[in-house]
Amino acid sequence: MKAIESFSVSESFGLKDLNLDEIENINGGAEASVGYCVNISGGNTGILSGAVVGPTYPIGPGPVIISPTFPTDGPIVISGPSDGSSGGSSGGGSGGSSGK
Amino acid sequence: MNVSKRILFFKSKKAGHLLFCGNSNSFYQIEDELAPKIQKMIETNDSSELTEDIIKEFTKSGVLLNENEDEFFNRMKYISYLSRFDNSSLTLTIAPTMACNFCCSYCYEGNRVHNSVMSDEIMDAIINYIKIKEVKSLHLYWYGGEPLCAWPKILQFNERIKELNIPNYTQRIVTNGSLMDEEKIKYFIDNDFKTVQITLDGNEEVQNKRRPMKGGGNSYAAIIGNLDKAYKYCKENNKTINIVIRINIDQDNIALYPSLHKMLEERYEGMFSIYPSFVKNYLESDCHANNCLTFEKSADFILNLSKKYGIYTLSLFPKQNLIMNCPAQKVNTYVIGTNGDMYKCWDDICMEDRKLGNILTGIKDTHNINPLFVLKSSAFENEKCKKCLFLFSCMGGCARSRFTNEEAKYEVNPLCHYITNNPQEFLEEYYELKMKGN
Repeated sequence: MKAIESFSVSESFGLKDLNLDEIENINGGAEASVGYCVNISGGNTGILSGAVVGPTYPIGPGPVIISPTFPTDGPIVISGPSDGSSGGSSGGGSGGSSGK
Repeated sequence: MNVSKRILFFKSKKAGHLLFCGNSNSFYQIEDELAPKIQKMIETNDSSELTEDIIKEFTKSGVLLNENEDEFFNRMKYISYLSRFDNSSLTLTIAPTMACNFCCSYCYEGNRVHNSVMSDEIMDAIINYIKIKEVKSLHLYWYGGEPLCAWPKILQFNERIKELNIPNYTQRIVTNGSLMDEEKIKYFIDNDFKTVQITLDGNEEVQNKRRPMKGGGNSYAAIIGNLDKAYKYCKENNKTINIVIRINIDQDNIALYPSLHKMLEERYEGMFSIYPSFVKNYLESDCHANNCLTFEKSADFILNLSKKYGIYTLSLFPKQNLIMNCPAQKVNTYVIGTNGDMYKCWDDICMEDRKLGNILTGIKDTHNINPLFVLKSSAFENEKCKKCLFLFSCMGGCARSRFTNEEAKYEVNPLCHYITNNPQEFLEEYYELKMKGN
């Protein structure tokens, strides 16, 4: 089988999949919402494009679902419990492009 | 594991077996020996005969789902609606003026143009509105008229918005490009404009005929001259500017597109994006209805651009999925006209029956415009869209066009992604393009 194009469901929405273990911290703690910086392991940062919603905080086992916003900039965090199962996915998208 | 129904598996003449998955726009060539197992997988919902690698790949791309189709659909719908109702970001399209230095033949704003510039009172009210919303993300689109006709106002606005220290502030502009001098080019770069969209409709003769400058003047020369400046500045200073050149196509200029595209690509060494867009029929102005291309002709055009000229556009193969079709489908998205009137869609500027209110006096939405755009236009509620292979790359098409079609009771403007006209042919052509290394 040859992949002519191969995207994960999340990638196809312009996102970056991250595991929980890859997120070092979310500024703002339990109050973190859109626009807060996320430090990602490896020295990268991103901007949360949705509110952090999850069953427990500080982040522990259990799905952390980031609600998406549109349009988006930077990676949208998609994470799940540290056992590897996936949480929610979220979307970017294109702006309207009415002509002039 | 469940096999998604949002896949297309077929045998093509040149490429053998091909499989496309609408959940992620993943696309595979399947060798003949494997094809019967894929066919069986689809027919029986049983993927057990596939290798572990293939199952892993298909799970990643959504060919195989850990949930059933309805659950996956509802999850996507949930995410889309979360986004529509999210109040943590605000998207504003601001028309600092409705004045324009062009008089384009197909302009839908023709009878809405006036020369006033947004007042300080309106600007103050917008800034206060942004403050009250306390958002973490602000996305701004400069529009008009021709927004650069009110350049000092844009500068003023931006300084005030920067003072608000919103963590995530982005801006974009839609301009005819004729007033984009070096000062503005530098400003767009220094202030990280995400896109600068400029329209150019043809060679010099055609552009000047379709998009003439008021009072005479060579609009083609003005635009190309400014694009040259932007190109030169970026090359000399090792900068980037995200200029997107849009070419509006109808019956009159369709034949010119390939040569214009290639000329621009060569002239600017691929620095700027170039794409075709199809002139729409705006019933209320209806000055250009007979020149608009049909859906089938538009789809053929996209296909032939690739087949005959090797020009790839996003309409040939949807690489990116969407959570919704456009920002107007979010609650927290507004267009603000020069006099402070508020709308959902920038095509509705100055239309009284599409007004939600005014920034000075508040939103009243007596015409139920917000529910119309946010809910009624939703592809998730449309029976045809729900089953479509390309649901997530199309998301129901332009909301405004959908309402126009419903009111007129016929398809005034097409809604669907062009690939739906003949998906197998589009996919085969994309395969050919990829095999050629494009």
